Amino acid sequence: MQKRNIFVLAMFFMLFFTRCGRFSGTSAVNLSGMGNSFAQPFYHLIFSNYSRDTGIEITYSDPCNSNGIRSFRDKTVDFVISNALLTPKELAEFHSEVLQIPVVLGAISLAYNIPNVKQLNLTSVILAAIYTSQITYWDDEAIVAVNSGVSLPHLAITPVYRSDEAGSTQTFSLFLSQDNAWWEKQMGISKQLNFSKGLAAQSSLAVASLVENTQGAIGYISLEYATSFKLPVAAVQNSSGAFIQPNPDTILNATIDDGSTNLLTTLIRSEQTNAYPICCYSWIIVYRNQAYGGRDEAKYESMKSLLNYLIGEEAQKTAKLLIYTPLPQKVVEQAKQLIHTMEWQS
Amino acid sequence: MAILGMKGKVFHIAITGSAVLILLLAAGILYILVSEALPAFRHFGFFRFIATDAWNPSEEQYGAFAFIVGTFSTALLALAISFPLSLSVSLFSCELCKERMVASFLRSIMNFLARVPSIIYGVWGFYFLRSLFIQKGIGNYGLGILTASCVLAIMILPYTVSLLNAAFDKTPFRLKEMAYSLGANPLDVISKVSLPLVKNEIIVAYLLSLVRVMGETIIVTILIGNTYQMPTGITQSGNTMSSILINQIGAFALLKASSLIAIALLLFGLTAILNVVSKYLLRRIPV
Repeated sequence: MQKRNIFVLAMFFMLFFTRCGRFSGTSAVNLSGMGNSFAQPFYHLIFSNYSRDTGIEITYSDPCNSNGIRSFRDKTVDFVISNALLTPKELAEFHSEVLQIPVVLGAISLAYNIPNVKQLNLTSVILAAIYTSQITYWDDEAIVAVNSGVSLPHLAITPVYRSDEAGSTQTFSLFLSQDNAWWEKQMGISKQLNFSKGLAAQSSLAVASLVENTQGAIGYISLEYATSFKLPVAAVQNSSGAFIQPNPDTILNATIDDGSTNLLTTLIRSEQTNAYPICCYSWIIVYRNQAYGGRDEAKYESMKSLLNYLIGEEAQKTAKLLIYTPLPQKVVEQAKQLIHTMEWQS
Repeated sequence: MAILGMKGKVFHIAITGSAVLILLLAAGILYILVSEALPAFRHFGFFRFIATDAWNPSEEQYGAFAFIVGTFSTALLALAISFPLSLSVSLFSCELCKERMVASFLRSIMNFLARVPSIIYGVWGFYFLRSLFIQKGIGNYGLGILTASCVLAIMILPYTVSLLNAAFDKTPFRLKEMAYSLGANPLDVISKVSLPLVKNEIIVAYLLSLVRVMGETIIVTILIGNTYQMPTGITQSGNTMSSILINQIGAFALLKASSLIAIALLLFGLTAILNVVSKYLLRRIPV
């Protein structure tokens, strides 16, 4: 008799908790995603705006890049945000087709901390030499040669890099490998590199903070972080030989059509004369067929609406406020077509 | 069981269940660590993994040696710095000035400091100690093993002191009174009566502090510089086993992820060994 009582009690509790789960499940659609720090300020703002307007809740966190991609592969999150395209190796681990949709444009800027130096020109050859400690002082001949009129102090250079797996590291190493044939073989193009000298930190924010607090430091971070930390950024030489400061205009110039219609290209070293050479899109990555893991059609519809919102006028305007660059109209059209190919087919 | 009645039975089942659950949880953690670490150990070989200094994703070469060295050098240096301080503070409050206001005040301050979240020590280290080191020209950028150890030493001090206090509190009062009545001075009593009596417990206090320092993550990640090379001196930057885990967690590539879990397993094993040694030392003490 008593045993049966306990059993009934247990069943009651189990039922009660499952009911609770159901209720909270149907009351609102919840989308979850992971991202990285590159465009973190933008997404945090835009997702909270979107939730406010639509009632669709978005759970978003931004650990390191690979963590998000891993969770997305395991289908524990609905989308992942990255500023590097999936590598062929990563893509091979996905068993269904994914869409990589550009959301905003940004630049990897080179923030530095040299007392009394407000203007600095750098080339990819110099940067590669700095990050492999072939150039160790700011008054090195090679740096002085491209900075006429700037008095550079005899100060040791501290290169700062990312200690986690970062899309920014991948973009930056891709840029360095273009002019330095030895880079790819010796250092590689990857989300984490084996730098021999310098300091490392775990996010864009931590890199910015290290640069701010270390005299002689230089670090590669998304332009928004350099701006909010009020750190000066270097003008970097592009393909045409000009030294270009990163700003919304010079970033946008990097997207001017070179004839290719492939959206999935990197914006490294654009041929344009007034384009900043280290630009990249921030991509949102979703599965093309949304009918997986018991997802209902409502979830698919809200995912689609979120994507359209992100490339819509309002979100793109917000991007500008946070020093990211809105997508050019041509890319918005291509992104729209990509979103259109999404489906819900069991 | 029969005489316990309904309530007694439920209570009995609940507490037995919880005890079993804890055991299962520990076993589950160990199982996951071992099974996920196996690919790395298989690929590199257990001893080669431990003895290799490499963390090179482009060539898929991983080894834990640099991080093991980082862990031990940071932890031992931190203990060496805090050793004279913690022992003196504890002797002061337990032996010299016991029963006085100042001793109980010191004890409550230490108890409070032991509960301060470690991130606060880390922030202090980054903004204050680091600039001091840069000004004095210690190390290249003020970040490295030495900086991390100094802050760890301060963090661990109250914890060690509370363990030492508990040990000294065990020394019989009468024995010490007898020594004093025979004309011994405080130094004699401490060195000839108190210290020999709780020798093992003092060792255990430092072993447990070592375990805590080895596992400390946030302070180290802020202050050690997070570089993947083998540190060549105490002012150099490096990584410890716990800081490499936090730096690289979520790694995508299978072999890299497995290597990280292998490092976690090593840290788990080291902690277990130190705990067993502590237990063994404490069992031998006559009460």
